Amino acid sequence: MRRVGAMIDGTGRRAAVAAAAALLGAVAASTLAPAQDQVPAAAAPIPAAAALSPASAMRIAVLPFDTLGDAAAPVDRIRETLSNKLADRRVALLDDQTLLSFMRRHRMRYIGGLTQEMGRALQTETGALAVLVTSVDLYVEKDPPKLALTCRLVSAGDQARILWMEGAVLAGDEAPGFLGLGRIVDPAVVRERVTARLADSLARYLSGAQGRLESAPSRTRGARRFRPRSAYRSPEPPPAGSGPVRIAVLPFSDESTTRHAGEILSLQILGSLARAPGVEVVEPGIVREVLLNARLIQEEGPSMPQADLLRSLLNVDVVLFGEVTEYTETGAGAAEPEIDFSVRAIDTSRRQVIWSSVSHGRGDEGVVFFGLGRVPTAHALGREMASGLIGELLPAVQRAS
Amino acid sequence: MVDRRGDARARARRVTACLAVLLTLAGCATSDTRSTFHDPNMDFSLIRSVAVLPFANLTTTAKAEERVRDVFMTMLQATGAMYVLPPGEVARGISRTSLANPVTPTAEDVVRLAKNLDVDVVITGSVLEYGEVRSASATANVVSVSVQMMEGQTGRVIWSAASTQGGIGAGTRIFGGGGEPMNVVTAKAVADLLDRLFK
Repeated sequence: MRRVGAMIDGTGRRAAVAAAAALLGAVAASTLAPAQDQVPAAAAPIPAAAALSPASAMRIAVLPFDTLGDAAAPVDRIRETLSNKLADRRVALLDDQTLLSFMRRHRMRYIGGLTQEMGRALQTETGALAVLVTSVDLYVEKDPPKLALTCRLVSAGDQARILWMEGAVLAGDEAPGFLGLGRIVDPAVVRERVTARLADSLARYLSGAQGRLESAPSRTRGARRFRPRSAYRSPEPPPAGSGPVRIAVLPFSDESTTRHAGEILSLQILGSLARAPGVEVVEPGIVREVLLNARLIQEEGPSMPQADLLRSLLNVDVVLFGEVTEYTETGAGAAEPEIDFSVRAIDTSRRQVIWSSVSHGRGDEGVVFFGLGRVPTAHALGREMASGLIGELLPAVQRAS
Repeated sequence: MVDRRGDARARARRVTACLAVLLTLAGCATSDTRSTFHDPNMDFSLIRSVAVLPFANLTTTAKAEERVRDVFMTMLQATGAMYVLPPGEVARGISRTSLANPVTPTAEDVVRLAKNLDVDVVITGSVLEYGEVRSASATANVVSVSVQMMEGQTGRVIWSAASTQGGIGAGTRIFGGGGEPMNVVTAKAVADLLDRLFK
C-alpha cells in the first residue's frame, strides 16, 4: 500500500514539476518573443567588406523628416542619429549644407516625397543619385517611449523610382522580459535601436546583400492572421503585357480620430507593394504632384474619368485607394491598438474595380497565452495588416504569365 | 406490474417538465423582427450592376452611415453576383444628375441616375442604430440597417429589407462582457441582409 502511495505521490510530484517547467517556459517565451513580429527583416549589421561594394558609392540626400505622428517629435535629432548610423556603415551621404541650399534655391517645401522635376534638378546640381524620404509615424517620449519611422529610397534623375522601403517601430514595453528587466525607459535607446535597424537594412540593400523581395511580407504568420475580413477579387487577371504592373497608391481618406492615419496606412500599404514581385509602385511625390496639377479632388475615391486621367498622366495600370475609419494607438484610454480600413483598386485599362476589401485588426487578436503574439503598437499592426492585404491582393493585379 | 406503471408515470412527468422548460426558453427568446420584401415579378438573376447611394444616418454616431455603406458595398461585391460601382463613380453620377437629396431619391431621380451611371439597379439605405446599448451593468454594440433596391428603368422598389444585430443577449446579461466588436456586428447585419437578398 505504502509503495503504491509513494508511486502515486512521485508521479504527482513529477507532473507538478513538469507543469511548473511548462509554465515557466511559456512565461519566458511570452516575455522574450513578442518583439519578433514587429522587427523588420533587417537586424544584423553588415560586414565592412560588403559596405565597400560599388553599389554603396551611391550618394544619398537625406531629406528633413516629415512628422505624421500626433506629438511633436525631435525630428532633427532623429535625423542626425540616422545619418550618423548610415555614415558608420559607410553609406555616402550628401552633406546637409549642400542639400539645404538646394532646397532653399528651389523653394522645396514638400518633404514627404520626390517630384520628377525636383529629382532631376537634385541629381544635376548636387550629384546625389538617390533621396531618402523619412516620416516619423509615432513618437512618445514618456515611459514607455515609442518610435516608428518609415523610410524609402527614391532614385533621383530622370525617373523617380522607389528603390527600397522599410519601416521600423519599437515600444519600450514590448519585450519586458523576466521581471521587466528588458523594459526600455530611455527614449534615446529606442531612437538608437530604431535607426540602427533602418540603417542596417538600407546598407544591406546598397551592398546588394538584400533584394527587394527579401522581406516579402505576405509570407509572415502575422500577415496571415490579419488578412482582410471581407474581400472581392476580380476573377479575371489583368491583360498580359510586358514589364511590371504600374500602381499608383492615392492618399487614403481619413475618417479616424488620429491625425495623418490615412497617410501612415497608405505608406505601409505602399511599402508592402513596393516589396512585392512584378509590381512597380509610383513614387507618392509624383502622384501628389499630378493630383494637384490636375486639380483632382477625390473625396470618395476616383471616378472612372479620373482613373482615365491618372492612367494617361502617370501611365499606371492600377489605381489603389482607400479609407481609414479607425486608427487607435495604445496609450491614452486604449489598452490595445485597433485599425479599421477599406481598400479598392481600379484596373484603368478595363475601367473596372478589381479589388475591394474591408480589414479590421486588434493588437490582441488571436492571443491566447501570456500575450504571445500580441502586436503592441498601431504602427506594427498596420504593417501586419498591410502585408496581409497585399498577400491577398497581388493575384488581382499581377499579369497573367 | 406496479413498478411498470410507476415508471411510466415518472417518464410522463419528466417529459412534461422538459416541455415546460422548452416553452419557457422559447418565451424568453428575443424576437427577430425580420421584414423583407421581394418583388415577385422581378428576376434578380438579371441584375448585373448596382450603384449604392450614400446611406442616411439616423443615429448620433458621426460617419456611421459611411462605415456601414463601405462594408455593405464590399460584401455585396464579394458575393460576385453583381458589379458594384466604386463610390467615386457614384458621387460623379450624383453630381452630374444634380440630385438634391441622394439619400432619399425619388423614382425619377433613380431613373436618371441609373441611366447616367449605366446600372441596372440603385440601392439606398438608412442606419437606424449604431453604437453601444446599456441595460443595468451590461453593455453591448448594436447595429440596425434598412436597405431598399430600386429598378433603374422604372424607379420601383423591388427589394427591401431590414436587419438588427448585436444588443444585449441573455449571455451578456448573466455573465457580463461588452458583447461583440462593432465591426463584427456590422458585418453580421450586412451578411443577414445579403442572405435575404439572395434567398
